[in-house]
Amino acid sequence: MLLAGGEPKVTSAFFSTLMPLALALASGGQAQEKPDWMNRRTEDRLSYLRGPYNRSIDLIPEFARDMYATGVGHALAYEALVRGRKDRLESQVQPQIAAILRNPPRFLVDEAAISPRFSTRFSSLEKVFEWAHTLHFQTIDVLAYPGWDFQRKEEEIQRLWKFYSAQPFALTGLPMNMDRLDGFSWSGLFRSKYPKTNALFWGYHWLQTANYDMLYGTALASQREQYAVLGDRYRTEELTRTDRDFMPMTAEISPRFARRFPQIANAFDNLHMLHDNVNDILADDRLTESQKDQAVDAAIINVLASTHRNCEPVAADEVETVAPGIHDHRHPNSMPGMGWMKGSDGDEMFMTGMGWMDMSECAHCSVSFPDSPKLTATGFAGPYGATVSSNGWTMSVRCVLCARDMASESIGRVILRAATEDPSRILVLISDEEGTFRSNLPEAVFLDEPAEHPECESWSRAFTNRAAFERYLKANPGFQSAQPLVLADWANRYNGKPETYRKISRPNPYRPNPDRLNPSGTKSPSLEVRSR
Amino acid sequence: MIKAFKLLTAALGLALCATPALASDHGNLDDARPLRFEDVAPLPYGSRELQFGLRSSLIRGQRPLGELRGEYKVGFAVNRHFEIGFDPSFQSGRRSESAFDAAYFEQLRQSNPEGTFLASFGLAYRLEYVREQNEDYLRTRFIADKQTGDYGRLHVNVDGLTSLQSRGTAWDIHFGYSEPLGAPRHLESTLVAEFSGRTAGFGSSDWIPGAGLGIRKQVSSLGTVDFGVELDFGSVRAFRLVLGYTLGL
Repeated sequence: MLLAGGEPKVTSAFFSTLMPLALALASGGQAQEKPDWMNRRTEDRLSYLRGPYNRSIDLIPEFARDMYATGVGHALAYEALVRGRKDRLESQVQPQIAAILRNPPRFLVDEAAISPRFSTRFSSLEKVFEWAHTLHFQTIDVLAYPGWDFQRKEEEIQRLWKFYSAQPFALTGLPMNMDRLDGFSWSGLFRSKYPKTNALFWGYHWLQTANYDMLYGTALASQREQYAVLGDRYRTEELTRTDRDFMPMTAEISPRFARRFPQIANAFDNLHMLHDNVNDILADDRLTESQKDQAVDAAIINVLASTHRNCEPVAADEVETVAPGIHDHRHPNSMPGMGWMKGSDGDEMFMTGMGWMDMSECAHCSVSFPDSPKLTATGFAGPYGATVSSNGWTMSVRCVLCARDMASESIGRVILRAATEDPSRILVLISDEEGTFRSNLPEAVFLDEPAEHPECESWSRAFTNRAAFERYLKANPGFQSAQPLVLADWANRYNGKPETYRKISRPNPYRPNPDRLNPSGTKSPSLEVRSR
Repeated sequence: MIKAFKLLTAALGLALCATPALASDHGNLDDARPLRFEDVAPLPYGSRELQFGLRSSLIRGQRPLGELRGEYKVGFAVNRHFEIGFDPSFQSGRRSESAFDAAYFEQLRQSNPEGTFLASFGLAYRLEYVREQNEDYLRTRFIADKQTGDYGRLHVNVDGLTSLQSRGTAWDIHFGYSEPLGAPRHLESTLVAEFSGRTAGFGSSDWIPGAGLGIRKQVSSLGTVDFGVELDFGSVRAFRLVLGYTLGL
């Protein structure tokens, strides 16, 4: 009787009589043990980990203020839901939140101060949220801190994860089956009843995940430049998007960070799914207040680290029998930082706006990423590989040639992030509307000797400087006649769509009927491409 | 007094400049910052805080009195913090006998959180030593908080001061109110107000009523300044100005 998303078809009689069973089923048929701390209602506030990096987010002021405003947005919507002001959510509360987002606070906001009723009623949830938000801010602070080198930041992020996950309020870093977590009878209610307010939530979650690849392995100046693009996208598009089929996933938008720190990426996705679960439960008028309280508790337990303490993540192809209920910890074979999505198969997943993607392949030439038992610090198997971010999406590609060509096929501003010969230095190229790139490494040069795509990691590369290029040629005599290309020359090249590219043609699993309109009354967008 | 004031002003200025940027803390009101009531919220486990304050009092029939106050707080366990502080006072025309003529140790513990209908309660124990009056006493403070309206909070503090020299008990009761000013659009300032009543001394049955109004304003991501005025009515008329700074560490 528990339905997988879509329109709820459960009667109120069902809820009044079979709610306990529904909640048990919501946990995969197994009643999960409620941890002791959830029975205590004291505040139990914990300090963040000390470090010189704390509040380094303020070094990117616009980003910091946008992040602080997400706290106000969450708090006001939740407070309206528990105060019986649901009918005013879209007409009054959403515009009120939007006004605050346009003029965001200067400092981190004490969410409990503006959502006192919600915080009091859902004190366990508040602890989980607050602790996960602390992880969000501290990981950001480390990555934005200019006083440490790449390696030191890597170590500190690992330390932060250890510190975070040692506490009882920690969310699991295991991949979770997102389709199941979004498959309760109430799932989808909030987004269909309150699409504009839901757009805000998913907009915040886009920002809270998109920032990681922006910050990772780049210096402060580049982080600021990238935020000029991402912040504009966030404010003008992501906060008002009502055409998403599903919440933004960390690995979709920050694939490099998700590959490098899969547990953290999974914890953030589990946090955002908990937000969606709570929204849907509070939006469900068939539930009594007491049933809502129970359902929220069950939703928390589903994603707590303690619930899954004896579980392990497993790659999709290694699974013989899919674990029941909430203990399905499959991840796409090549992306350990993402849980199982609706309709997924092996490495394939559906992304709104992009269609079906295979995460084991280059998004531009469809050639598989090289196998490697161990990823390097930059999140790729070697000193190659890049990502292309545009119009709210981010794609992983094998080489800088594919990145450049994909960028030139995209409308609007693009951020290209490419590995170099130095694992601690990522090349960031930002294009303007006309396609002209600016680089964070002014001395960067490129090797561009197109041959077969399966070997592109050898003939398409970015180097931090000419000396590194020369060293590469010396070690690879086959390219001895190659000339280093400066950015302006390299950027003007275009090799067209590779013959190896294949489009995966499968229907949108969220909308099996392509003519079905989304809650906002529009059809799904498709990827717009152009050649420059 | 003037020298002490200059020192404090310099310290406040230095702290304001040196602070990199504190989370807004409407839910963490402290005694003397700027009024005399506090809320039930203990510091988060593992966090530390430094507070400085200056109080200038004009009391009818007495010379102006200045008080400095410095506190160091540590969240030493979940839902518990302790603080150590010094509270020297200076009267115009002469300096009091000691620069550290008052010191104390306090432990605050939240005993239950707020429910939909139930207020949040906490207990604070403070051991104070006041040298000038040759007095040691134990202050036991019962604290209750309750939400009201959209963002307002009501606070009740009941202090029992028990003299360790067995001179009896003095009482000090505060009814406070706090609200983030301009919430939810603006969240950097908290309005605080109180009505209070205290017995005139140990064993006394005379009550001195009072009132206060103040504001706490977050000025950086770790710093909050506070300013308040307090009035005592009845037989002892007094007017006090309070200025302070809190720095999260």
